[in-house]
Amino acid sequence: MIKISSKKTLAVCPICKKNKENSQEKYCKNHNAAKKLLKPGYLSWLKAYGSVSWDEFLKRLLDLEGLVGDFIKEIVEYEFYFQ
Amino acid sequence: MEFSYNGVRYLSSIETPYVLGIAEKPQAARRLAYALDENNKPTVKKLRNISVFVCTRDNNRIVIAPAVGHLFTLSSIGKTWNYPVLDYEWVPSHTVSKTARTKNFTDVFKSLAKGASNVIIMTDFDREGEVIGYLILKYLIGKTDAERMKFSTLTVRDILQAYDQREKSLDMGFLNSGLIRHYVDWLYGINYSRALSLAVKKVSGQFKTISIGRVQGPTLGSVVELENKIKMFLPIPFWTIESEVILDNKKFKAFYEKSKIEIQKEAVQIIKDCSGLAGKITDVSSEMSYQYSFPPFDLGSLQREAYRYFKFSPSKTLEYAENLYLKALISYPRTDSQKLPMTLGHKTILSKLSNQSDYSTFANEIISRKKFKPREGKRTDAAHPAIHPTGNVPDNSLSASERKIYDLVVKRYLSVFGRRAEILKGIIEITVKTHKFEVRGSKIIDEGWIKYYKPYFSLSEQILPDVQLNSDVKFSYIESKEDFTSPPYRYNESSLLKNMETEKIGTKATRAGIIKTLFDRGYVEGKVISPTPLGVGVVDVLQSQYPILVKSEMTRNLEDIMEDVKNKKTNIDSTIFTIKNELKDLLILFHKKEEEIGQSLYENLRLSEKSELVVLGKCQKCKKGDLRIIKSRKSGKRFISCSAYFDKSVKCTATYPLPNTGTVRSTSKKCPHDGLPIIEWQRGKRKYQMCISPDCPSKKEGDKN
Ligand SMILES: [Zn+2]
Repeated sequence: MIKISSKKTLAVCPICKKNKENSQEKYCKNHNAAKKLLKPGYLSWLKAYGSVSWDEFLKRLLDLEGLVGDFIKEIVEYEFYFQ
Repeated sequence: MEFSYNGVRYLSSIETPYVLGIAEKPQAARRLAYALDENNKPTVKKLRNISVFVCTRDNNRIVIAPAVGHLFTLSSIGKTWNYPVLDYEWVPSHTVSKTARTKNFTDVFKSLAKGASNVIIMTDFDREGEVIGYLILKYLIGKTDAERMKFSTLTVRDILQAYDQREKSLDMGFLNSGLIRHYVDWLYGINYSRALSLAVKKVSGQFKTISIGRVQGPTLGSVVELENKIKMFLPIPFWTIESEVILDNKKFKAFYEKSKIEIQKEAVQIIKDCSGLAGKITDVSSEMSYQYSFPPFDLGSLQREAYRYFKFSPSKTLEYAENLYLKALISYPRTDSQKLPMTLGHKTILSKLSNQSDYSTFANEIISRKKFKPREGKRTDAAHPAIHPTGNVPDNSLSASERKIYDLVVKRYLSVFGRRAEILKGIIEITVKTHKFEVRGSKIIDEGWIKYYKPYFSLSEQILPDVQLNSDVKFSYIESKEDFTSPPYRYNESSLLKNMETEKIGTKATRAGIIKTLFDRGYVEGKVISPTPLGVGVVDVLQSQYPILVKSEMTRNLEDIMEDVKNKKTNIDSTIFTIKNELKDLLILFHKKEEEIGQSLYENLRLSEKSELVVLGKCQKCKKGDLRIIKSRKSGKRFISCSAYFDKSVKCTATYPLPNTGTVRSTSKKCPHDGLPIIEWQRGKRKYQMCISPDCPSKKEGDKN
């Protein structure tokens, strides 16, 4: 194995350890995009159910195994449950 | 001088001069020779252990020798390992590849060159066949033009016709469009392979070959793109109304007027309104509907149907179909055509099929109706008709898989002569307050072509009872069900092939092979295709830094340019010149970004190596997770653990030790004692298969069981 010879410490995404494209952002491109989908997703749920709390929405998303995308699941787990 | 063995006459030398026929494969050479020899008894001469056939026709001696597909390959001129590389030459495959078994074939053509007064190219009639024949002609025989036989089946009838009507010279447009495809694929393949590998090497000092072909790039790109959609998917709730009515003492499913209700309150209201479970029949209607036979098979639709019904991969289907073609049982499978012109002689083919017991009833039925005009599809192909049987009777040499493809091809062919199917569709409308429900039925009036195509297609019936308008109806239940929108389906080999067709990337002849290459290079995996971490890593980097390699535009453009060469709208040399210049510019652009690309590629490769997991089988402890080989990032030691360890509801802690030396492989076998996976462990020449459990009875000393 060859040691990586990067002098500058690259900023990596705390979830997937991939390089962040933009160091201002908290996550990599994918996890950032996933986070941005949560708000509009919540609004759709709110419209459908009439009332649902943000926490309930996130908790139920995690239960939708097989439907919810991995990036969405990971950001929810990271930001709201395992922190 | 000749001698006889097993009824075949062998020659010790061939008299000159002769007309030399170039066949694409040994089996094709044999068929061509038996058909062309006036007495259907060609003599055989063994040259370098390869059968060469000598036949007589119209007082001409024709010597037919086989190739084995391509005998030549492109190779770079110059030895430096840098890019751009723009100069290439054709060289005999065996001189650059140790695995190429082409040397003897090459030598045979060389030895036959001197005595050849004239040459006929008898390879498969398509671009590749043209190129195969031309390269032998030019580099082994030393001529630049030849006569050309064109045929779509290897039946005696077609071979003789192709011989009588052979072209006096090669179609240069067709040939050049075949050649340019090789040049362009070679240029893109070698340059980007070098550029990507060097970029990684520059950053890491480590050499790793990373290849991404001109057509593989966009194909892999679309797999990764779909995977990203799935990974970004956020399900949204909706509701459906499910209900069942009782008509004439039988239960029928009733469909609510809206298939999807987006607001929970509305669904609740519907159930409330319908809580009495009583409705009225407000309309009864019926309508005749017709279903027409599917078009004849082009290669893509044969590959899809074989995948759907037999789960054969597209490349396997092509392989089986080619074998059937070489046995003169079906026509040439590499075709885009859905046409079956009358000149094929359908009446003859059908009466030949009527001699095969499996098809005799239906073939005779079609013959007695005397309607020999098949129902065709829209797509055409300049070189070949749709895939169809020749009518020849298969012998016992067919494998089970070949037989399946043969049956599918024959039944599809029969079906296009069948009448349309007639189905009477009925609808009973039931109203509850303001809500409408429908009970749907269908009755087959005439099965038509479907009868011929069974079991590959069938219709199901649901006969509705006679009911009175305005009569009361009782529901057995009306319920609402919560559901969620679901992510798109991943590709399978068949739908990926379809996607390539729609995106116009690759050609009918190359698509299946491109998909196979993606598997072979470890970019994708699974029956349900998902990209590997390596595949994602490569696409991710290219997508953001150098998208041209993973988007389909460039590939499609090049296909158009090559089409222009075929239609002789442009000259091959000037086209190549332009393509080389464009490629040079693209590579300069790449070079400017080399370090960035190399850095991110290297990072992604490292991450993907870490996450390459070997799954051995299901966990017996929690019955939920997969047992996987894990390598500790810190200690480098490996062990087996259950994937459900990460599942909050299970947290399965099953682990099993692994030896830290040697290689471990999955065997897909299960231990008879405890049902756990059996692994294969190998170090040096020692190889053992064993259960992963250290407590397994099979490992107890002295236990002979
Ligand atoms: Zn991330």
